[in-house]
Amino acid sequence: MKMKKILSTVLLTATFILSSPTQAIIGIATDSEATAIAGLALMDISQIWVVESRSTTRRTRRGGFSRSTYVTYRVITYPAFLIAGLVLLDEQGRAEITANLSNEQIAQAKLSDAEVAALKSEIEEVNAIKDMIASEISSVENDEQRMEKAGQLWTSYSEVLSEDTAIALFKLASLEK
Amino acid sequence: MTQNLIKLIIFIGLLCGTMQSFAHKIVLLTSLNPETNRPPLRLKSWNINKKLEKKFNQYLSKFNTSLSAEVIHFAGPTELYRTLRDPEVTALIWVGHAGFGDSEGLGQTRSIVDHKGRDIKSLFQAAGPQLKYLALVGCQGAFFLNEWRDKGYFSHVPKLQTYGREVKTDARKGLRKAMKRLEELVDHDSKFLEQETSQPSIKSPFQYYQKNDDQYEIAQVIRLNEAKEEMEAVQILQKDRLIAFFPQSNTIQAKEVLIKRSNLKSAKKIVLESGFGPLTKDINLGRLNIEADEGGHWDLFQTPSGKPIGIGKHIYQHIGD
Repeated sequence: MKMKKILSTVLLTATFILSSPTQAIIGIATDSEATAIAGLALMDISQIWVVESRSTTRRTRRGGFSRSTYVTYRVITYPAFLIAGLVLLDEQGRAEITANLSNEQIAQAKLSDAEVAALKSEIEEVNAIKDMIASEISSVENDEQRMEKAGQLWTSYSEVLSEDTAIALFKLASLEK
Repeated sequence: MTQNLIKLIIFIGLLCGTMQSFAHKIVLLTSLNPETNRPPLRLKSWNINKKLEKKFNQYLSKFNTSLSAEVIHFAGPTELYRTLRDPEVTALIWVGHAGFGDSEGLGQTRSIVDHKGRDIKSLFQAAGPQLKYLALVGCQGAFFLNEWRDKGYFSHVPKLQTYGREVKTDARKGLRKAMKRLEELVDHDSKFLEQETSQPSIKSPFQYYQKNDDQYEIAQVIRLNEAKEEMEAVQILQKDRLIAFFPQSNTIQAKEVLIKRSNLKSAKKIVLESGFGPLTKDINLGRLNIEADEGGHWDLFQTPSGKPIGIGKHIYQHIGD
């Protein structure tokens, strides 16, 4: 019982979480007409970083004490937390495309005002398409083929979006590569 | 003798009336599947819901004031909505999985999911004016609460106190902290959870209206119909703003809601959202029939061949004349 508590405390207190992996959107250019948009991969936040600090004290030959501290960094998965009896209430894998772009992103992607406005206006439609594509590619096991299929589907579905939105997505997705 | 009896009846009546007006209840809603939320090396009988309920009752017994309490496990959108709107519920604690993250690129995760994986985050906007305390026990719950406050989703409940954590959260630890926070609030003000005799003057932006309600100018009628089988609970959203909710239905029956004109955003788009993710199959969303008084018509967002676009959600776009 005591051991369990110590383990929980160590894990919790010694844990810091780096920013989530930014692999939510993986872009591939599929259409030179600039109406194709990036393929979407599901967000992978199944792993987190922990830092563990352990100190050991031992007696020296001269009768004194020596203390050593080891700091280790490692990537662990959630089940490691669960060993400590914790039920982490984390939600994984639900990724949305956002239209809340920073000025830096807009500048880097060279988005026009019309393109930014169009993307904001059609963000629900963009995410509905993303869901369709995520569903349709879920049965494709090979990563490369999945990405290729996603690119094809984006190209196909982008017909129902305005040209400005499609171009904005294409430019932004290209930045992600 | 008869007079005394009448006095006694009046007294009992008044007492009941007083109790009614001051009714206040704390509700724990958990939405966790025990099978998938059992730590390794535990017996099959280990049940997170039972653990949470036991803890909840233990914490509740420490309160100096008597509270009416209710625990609902496997809560979904319908239970959440009903609890948020229940005039007797003044404190609500939700325990479920959540994630709030931004990537540096185009993606973000903003989900509060129930035991079936439905995203129910938008439903919290339905908080009724009676609610005094809302705790979101899930990972990074504080970020959701802060964002909702910034967006004015709780402006109709100015006295609402909330609790959430910014870090990843263990279910039992999160519940303990949420109860501790509530205990502090009640210790500070013993009547904190009691209903006020007069309702707040600020009208909730989210409420149903009657067709003959002259007080409000009704702009739109939304009907959900053509359901051929059991229909999922659906949220009606406009620019992330919850404007209506239809609970799960087992009957083939059209549902109707009236939307106040001032509640409508300028964007002419309505999203019908079940909360189910893209990997869910066969979700019956029915069809919306939207009557607008400003002309034009509403079309379902679909491919040129007529296939609705969206998994677990449909988008209706207003097309002007």
